[in-house]
Amino acid sequence: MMVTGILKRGEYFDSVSLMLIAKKISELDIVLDSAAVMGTPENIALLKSSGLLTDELQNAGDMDLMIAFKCNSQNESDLISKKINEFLKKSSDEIESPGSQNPSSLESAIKILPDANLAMISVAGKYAGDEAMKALQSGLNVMLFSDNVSIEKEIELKKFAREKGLFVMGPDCGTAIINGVPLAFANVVNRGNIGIIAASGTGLQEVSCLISNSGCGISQAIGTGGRDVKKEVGGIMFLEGIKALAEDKNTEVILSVSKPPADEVLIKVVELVNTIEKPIVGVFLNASIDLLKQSKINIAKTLEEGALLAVAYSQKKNNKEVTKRINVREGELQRIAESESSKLNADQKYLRALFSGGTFCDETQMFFQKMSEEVFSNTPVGTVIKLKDIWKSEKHTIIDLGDDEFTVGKPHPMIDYSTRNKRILAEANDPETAVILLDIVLGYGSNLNPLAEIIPVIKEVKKLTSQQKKYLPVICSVTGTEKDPQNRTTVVVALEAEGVLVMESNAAASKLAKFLIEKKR
Amino acid sequence: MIKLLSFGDHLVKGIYNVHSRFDKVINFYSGNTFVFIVNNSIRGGPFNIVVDDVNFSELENLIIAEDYFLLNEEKVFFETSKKYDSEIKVTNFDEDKFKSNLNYFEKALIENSSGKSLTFLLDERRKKNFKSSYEIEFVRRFNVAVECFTSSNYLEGIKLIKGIGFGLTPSGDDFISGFLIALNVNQKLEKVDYSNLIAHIYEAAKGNNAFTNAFLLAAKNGSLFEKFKNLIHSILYSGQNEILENTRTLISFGETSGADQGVGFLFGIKRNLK
Repeated sequence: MMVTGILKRGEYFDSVSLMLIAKKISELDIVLDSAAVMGTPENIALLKSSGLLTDELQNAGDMDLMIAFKCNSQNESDLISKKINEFLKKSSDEIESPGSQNPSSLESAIKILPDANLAMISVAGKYAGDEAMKALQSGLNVMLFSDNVSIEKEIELKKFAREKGLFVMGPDCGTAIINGVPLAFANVVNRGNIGIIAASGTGLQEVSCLISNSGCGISQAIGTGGRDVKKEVGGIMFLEGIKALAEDKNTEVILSVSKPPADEVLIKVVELVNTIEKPIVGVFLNASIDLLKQSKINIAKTLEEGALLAVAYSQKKNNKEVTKRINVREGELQRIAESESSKLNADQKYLRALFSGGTFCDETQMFFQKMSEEVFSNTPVGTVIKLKDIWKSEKHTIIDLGDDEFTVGKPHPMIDYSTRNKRILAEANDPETAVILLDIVLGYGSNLNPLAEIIPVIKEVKKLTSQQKKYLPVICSVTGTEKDPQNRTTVVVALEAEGVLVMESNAAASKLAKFLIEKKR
Repeated sequence: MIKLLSFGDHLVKGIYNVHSRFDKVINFYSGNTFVFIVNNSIRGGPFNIVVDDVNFSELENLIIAEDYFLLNEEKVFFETSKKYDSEIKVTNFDEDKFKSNLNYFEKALIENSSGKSLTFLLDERRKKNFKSSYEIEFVRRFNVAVECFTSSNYLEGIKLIKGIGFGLTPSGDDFISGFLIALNVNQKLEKVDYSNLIAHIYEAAKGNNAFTNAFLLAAKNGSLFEKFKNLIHSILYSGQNEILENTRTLISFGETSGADQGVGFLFGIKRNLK
């Protein structure tokens, strides 16, 4: 065994680069031990006590880089040294060309890309509003991914943008597809003639995927951020989005999607839509239907129905086919529910729905509004009751794990499955759980290997329930396409192989769960 | 044209040369004095000049005068309204909320920081990230140092950790900076004079590395960089969302530097809360 020391005089690196280099060195198979640190006297002493100090490194200074490693032979040492020099050169090249693709301000970014017409902003909330205004003042449309922007700032930005003929998507806008380019959490969908305006991130993903999976495509998918349709903001960008899609020559059908909008906003939408020639489909989950009766909006009750109606208009087919298709499918769901419920024992009575997509949580609550037993949620809608303790389910419980209470200090559950995985096991252990309902959202931004996260938990649930001599159905919808980096079919096949009941939409999954509970009674 | 966004309240007049150059920061030095030219993502600080519309790769010469600075021959006046105040002001605060916020900060720090940060001192499980013999020795030294700090044997503790660790400001020095900041905050919270202890720790910690010394000196004087000042302010007066946001901003400073300072701060601030 031999120790080799490499001293790079005056070659300082920031800690990020230095640790990356150290990691790459330690990952070389033939390296037995290593360190890459600056040449402070104390680090020299530490290398000595670690058995890694060589003569070359004895006289290092504070601004010198020391690299030491152990290996088995001179040949290996030469090879490792060569690799290290390559790592260092690559890292230096990156340092020496800062700004080439990494501008330090909006102004320098515009200089690099003078033809850009959209800025995507993702900085801490309190700075995001000012950055967005700078972008608008520079003539750029804005996608504001950041949350925690004040409502006053949102209104100021949106009014300013409207005056300038620009768009502000957000704040808290997690998804959009502009000119075929997926932004943030978005899926790889077909291009086509359906334009989407959405104040609901997961809603936009679900309808765009269902449309694409039906063989049609998207012209533009504009997100507005969920707060846009609240009374205070007044739907400024939702209305501007509808107008833009109405004028867009590539858009032949407009699909509008929203969580419950304020009545004032809905009235303005109806007034605007009545002036537009193109067919318009509207999914306003849990909204007051009375307000929509006099409009020319084709109302869909679910995201799935909205997507299928838009497809029917896009293909110039009779939209009654959609109702027929859904009715046929309901018969199938009833049959599955009958079979599944017969396997449950007497104690198993309740739904436990654990969502990563907030809109799915709202949509499922819509199906469970008129249950004889109480229904609870951390984000209740309509007659659903607020959970006292979000970590503990009561009777029928429908949870949005993407809500702030669950995500403080953690990535979004579409990325990090850990919180939901723990909850799945907790629900499986509850003797009253009759069915677990889940969503998996694929696409850019989401976890790139969802199967590695979810399959071990499904296996664990099966083991647990087998030990408890019970059967527990798991129903799941998978939002995604074949072109998504995770590939929808791969995910579906793997889930089904573990006995998961995979549905094509959240609406279908929710209905199956509801039928199953009803059959059990 | 250089756009000045803010300038530090501890800048020293002089002719400066480039010490080290990074993507968003150019460190200038004149003897043992430092000035950091930074972009807006780095934010303000006692020795920072925050600028916009500047190509950092082209910066070479800096002169600091009484009421202006010359950067690559371009003259920019210091406007009083852009002077950054590095002192943390402590007025009335709710002690229970402060303690609860500190616990939340600790949790946020552990959950969000790099695996090689000093958060293993707060959560034993993170020791598993240290595998090489250098790293194992590093962890061992810090564990002994923490025992020294716990028994108020600060100078022995500092000897063990000063100058060790990764990056241009070694982890040990970052920890000590955070600890000094905490003592300064404690002085204000408790209205007790810790100036002798602060001076002793600083003297024991400073070494031959002028760059690290500049950060230690700022911490000794209670002059805070904006990221740290915002964090402390949120722990004193705000809720969890703001603490989380400021924690994430702090730990974005270097791979471990911000987190290491945060760990030192926690040890310092909790020293008197027990």
